[in-house]
Amino acid sequence: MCSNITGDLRTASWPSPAQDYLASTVSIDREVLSSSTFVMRAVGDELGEFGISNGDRLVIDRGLDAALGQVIVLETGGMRQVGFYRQVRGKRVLTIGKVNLPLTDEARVWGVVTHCVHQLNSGRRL
Amino acid sequence: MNAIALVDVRCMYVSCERMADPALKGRPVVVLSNNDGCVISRSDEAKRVGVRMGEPWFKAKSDPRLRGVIARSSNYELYGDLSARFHRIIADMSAWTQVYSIDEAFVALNRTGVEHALAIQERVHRYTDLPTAAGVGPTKTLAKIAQTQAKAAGQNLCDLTAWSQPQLAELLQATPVGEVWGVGRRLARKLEAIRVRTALELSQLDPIQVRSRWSVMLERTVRELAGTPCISVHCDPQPRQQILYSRMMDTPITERGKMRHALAQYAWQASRRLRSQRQAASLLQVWLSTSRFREQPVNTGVAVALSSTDDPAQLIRAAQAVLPKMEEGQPYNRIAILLAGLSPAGTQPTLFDAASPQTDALNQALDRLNLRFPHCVGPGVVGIKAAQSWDTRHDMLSPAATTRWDELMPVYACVPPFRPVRG
Repeated sequence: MCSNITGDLRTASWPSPAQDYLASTVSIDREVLSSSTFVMRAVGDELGEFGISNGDRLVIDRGLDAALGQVIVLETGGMRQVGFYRQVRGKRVLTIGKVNLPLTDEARVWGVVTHCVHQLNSGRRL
Repeated sequence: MNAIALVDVRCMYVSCERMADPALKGRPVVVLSNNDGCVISRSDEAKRVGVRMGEPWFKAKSDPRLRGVIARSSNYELYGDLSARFHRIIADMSAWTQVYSIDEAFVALNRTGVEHALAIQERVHRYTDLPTAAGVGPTKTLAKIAQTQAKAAGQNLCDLTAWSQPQLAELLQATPVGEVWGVGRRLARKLEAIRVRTALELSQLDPIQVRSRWSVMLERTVRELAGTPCISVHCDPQPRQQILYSRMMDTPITERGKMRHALAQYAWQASRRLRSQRQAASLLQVWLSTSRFREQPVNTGVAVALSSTDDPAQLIRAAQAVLPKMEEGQPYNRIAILLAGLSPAGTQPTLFDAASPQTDALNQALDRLNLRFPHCVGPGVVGIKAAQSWDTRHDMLSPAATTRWDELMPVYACVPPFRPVRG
């Protein structure tokens, strides 16, 4: 039996019992990415409580509407900041550690963080 | 009849750089051609301070009035990815579209007309952070004029279907005939000779006479200017008639050995273009030249006839046929490779067909490898990744911010002053 890159199985003798059930391997790309997503690299350690560490890769979706209580990205002062979106004394802010950045015309929502890719272990494969 | 829109990304290359680095927003920015030669894209701010299109950067950067203008090398990996997103979004939202260039697409609008165009613009901006301009008209030719008008007026959208007949006539009268889509410079000169100077005057010619005197193509343009659609949106663009791959080198090449490597590299790149459009070439021309600014420029070239092929190894051998003509010691700084006599690959088996099934399989494997690992594998000397001394210059290159895991855009999970830790 041989299998080519399109995943179709050819046998010389009996047809494979799996041939009607062929599907491609699960794909994280297909689940997580779309034409409205960007992957970015987190710099800084202030979002540990949300499971985000320095160097993690974040998936940011620009197609979603940001809602309070989400981790979102704000564009301000020529850079992008990630933090927790919430309301403090009636004002909408982005909380990063101990700092609250207010949302203004110059500090706008750039996208909503949907996933965080955090590497636990690495090493040489056998 | 449904209206047609031409949607494009405003100053595409600059807008892509700004997407990748928001610090560039609101500042004068230009993007330079290969080898950091000339200005090929300008932000509105850069236009305002007086940077001209095509201006050599070495001149512009020493001009005191242009101090503060930020330059970037062209980053085609980034632009290519964002362009693909742009076209995918438009295709998802429309029944009929045609990719017109890296940053332009024709769309046959649905019955909501301008609403459809606005929805596309809104979503492109929403999903990609890229600003767009759109021209809407009853025909492709008028949509193109509308797009030019939108840009000139600094508007996001110009809808000629809403214009009155006198207003439209005024705009066409103000449009030189050479700026009409499909009218090239040579044709424009001939038309001016018979006192057809503007788009309006062209639209008033008799289409039947235009066909017999000029061509069917020009007849269509005349009818389209008058509002009758003749060029359908979803027709495939004509396959390219030739492929030109031409580059300046940062460091000139004087030795034959190095030139052999460079030719392999360039012919390989040209062959990849050829293969990506599934064509084969029957003629390869190659030129070597020294700087135009030298007192006695040296040019040399050869033409090689091929039995219609898309095999990189054959094309590389053909390009290297110029080597005996090279004068060693001369500082060559430009290589140009032209592939012509193109036909769909695999349709013209010839008596001397050299490609065996094994070569085909090998070349297809190479195509796949290059898709997964760009610039890593190629035939012979091409496969060496180390930068060659003659490679093109791109000193101000931004990261491949959307296509490489190690070069992704940063997002800060800390507040200024930063303690940036490399991740």
